[in-house]
Amino acid sequence: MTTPSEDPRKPDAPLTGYLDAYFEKPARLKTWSGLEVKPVYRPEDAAGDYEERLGDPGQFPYARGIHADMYRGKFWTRREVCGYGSPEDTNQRMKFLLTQGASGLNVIFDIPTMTGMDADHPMVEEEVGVQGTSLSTVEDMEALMAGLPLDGISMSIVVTSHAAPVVLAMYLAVARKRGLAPDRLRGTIQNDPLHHRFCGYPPAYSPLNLGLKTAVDCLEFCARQMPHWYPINVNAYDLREEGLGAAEEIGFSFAMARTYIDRALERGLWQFKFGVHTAGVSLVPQQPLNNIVRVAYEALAAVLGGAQSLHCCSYDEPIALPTEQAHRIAIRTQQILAYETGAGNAADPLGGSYFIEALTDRLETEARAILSRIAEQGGMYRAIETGWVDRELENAAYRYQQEVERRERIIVGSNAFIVPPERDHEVPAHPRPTVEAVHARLDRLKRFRDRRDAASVTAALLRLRDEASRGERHNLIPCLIDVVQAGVTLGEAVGVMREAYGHAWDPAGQLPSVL
Amino acid sequence: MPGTRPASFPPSSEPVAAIKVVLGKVSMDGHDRGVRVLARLLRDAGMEVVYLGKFLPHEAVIEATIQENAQVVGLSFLSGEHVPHTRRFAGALRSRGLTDVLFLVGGVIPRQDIPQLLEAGADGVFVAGAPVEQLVGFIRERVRGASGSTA
Repeated sequence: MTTPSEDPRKPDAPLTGYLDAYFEKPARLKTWSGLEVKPVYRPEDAAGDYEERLGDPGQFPYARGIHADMYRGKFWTRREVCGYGSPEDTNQRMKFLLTQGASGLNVIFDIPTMTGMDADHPMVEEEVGVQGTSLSTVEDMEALMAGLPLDGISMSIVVTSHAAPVVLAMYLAVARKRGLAPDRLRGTIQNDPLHHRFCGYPPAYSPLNLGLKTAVDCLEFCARQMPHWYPINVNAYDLREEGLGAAEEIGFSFAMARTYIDRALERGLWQFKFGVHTAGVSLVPQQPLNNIVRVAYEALAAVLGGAQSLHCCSYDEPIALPTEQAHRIAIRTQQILAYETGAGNAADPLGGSYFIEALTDRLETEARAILSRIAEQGGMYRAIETGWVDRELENAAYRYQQEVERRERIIVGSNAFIVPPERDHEVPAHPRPTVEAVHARLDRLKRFRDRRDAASVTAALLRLRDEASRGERHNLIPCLIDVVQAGVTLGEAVGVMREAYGHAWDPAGQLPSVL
Repeated sequence: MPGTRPASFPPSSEPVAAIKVVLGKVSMDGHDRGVRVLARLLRDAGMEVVYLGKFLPHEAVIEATIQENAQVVGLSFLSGEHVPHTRRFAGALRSRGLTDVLFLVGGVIPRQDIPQLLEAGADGVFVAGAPVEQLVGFIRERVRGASGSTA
């Protein structure tokens, strides 16, 4: 850092380096994903019949958007991922987001919850309420949703794998208690177990056979009983975060979707909807306020591309969970886009751009090639099991970082235009839960366990064990709603299902089965 | 491509034989893209790197550090649980007598927390987004400085 440098982008370069900037031209002539860009695009680069290649918005092949009037008919859903501390803490923040103009909610859970482990598991104390909100019981779900009209809001629930059906059941149990049938609820559950596996969780913590079974249970239940609910959100975002390019992102996510569709078809489902949420990030902790600008460009790109729902990352994402102020700026970013720029006034404003349409064609070709490569290996499930997906992701991430290290890829404030940390602007960071807050959370869970009726809990667990052993196609959601209402915790319900599918009750091997 | 050394990174004019680094993740956080890429970049820089994996008990990392006779041990955090883990891990290092092992912490960490991590026993803290060459330089300086003539 202190060695003198000729690089004009280093802070201590002689002034002549900066003066050279007058003659500077772009060094990297590629898209973010690495596609070479030509100097100019002409009609022949995007040739073909208009109706066949593009069609009007709302018409097949939907290249110009899925609705005829796009945002003139309805803005995209403005929702921000939110979740920290106790369910009560997150409830407060969700209400704050709504008062700031969020048009949907998006809740995320801490790692124990995502993994189907209760907050009082001996291994997880340091994780409770850290990465998202902590949720172990139906009472927690009531606290999370207190004062929020379940039939009025659009609720996106970020939980996946074998914890998803239990969390969905808790949501449905709260709705039932409020007298609301499932068809009154509007929202999304992530429910994408394949991505759970290659985005971090070891096999013991996220068994794929059980995750896929319960994913299709959720899908089937929602398709039959929840017409306003998206039962799977194929998570392409995390793929991109792992370093993949745009074509791989499309190819991989379609391969995952194909796995779910195939299994849904096996159960006689032929009609269901898929929603896709996207938000690209490339945020860095150096000079963090610059991230506001990055997010704004990315949000504009999403809207120009016709996104249905948008989460803007908060500028402090590479530092900690969002503070209230950072959350507000993320919503304001969406509002500036929606209300000030006019980006939504015409459907598909970039439609017919030689450059954009040529890139779209190229992405489609490459994504299809990747989809075939995955199909040749026996599909996404198999490609994960053989480790192929992990290797692809790791290689992509490595290539990306090499480009950054060599400054082929410039990231302002990170590998160029640097200021020393002590002169960088410091921003407030969301605090982790205090020891007292975690203990209060554990006390609450203990009181819940002590208070519930032991006989009903045992009966519920036995019923779940019985139903879980009736084969893949026996849908467990209706049973799970009763079971969580009887006081069974997330960890207990997951434990029973894990055992039924040949796995240890506790992935960490520390808790015995309660049955 | 895996295994091949990039042309310009890192500056590899000096021999850095056998700096041995053990990396791992001790919390229940699955984000390991950063630490896996780091392992490869440190290997490219001529170090011997063992990436142990994630969801590890602290004792497993300590044992591996001893078994591998590593001069450096690094923990990666991206989900906000860095302070209590760092404190507990540093305590375990001390109680096993591993006081001359360089203990590094990295990942998504608020700058405000860095003094706390150093006070808790980390020898260095590297936040995401910083070029790896800074980390390489830091390790070379500290390990060579500590081991004197053996380097």
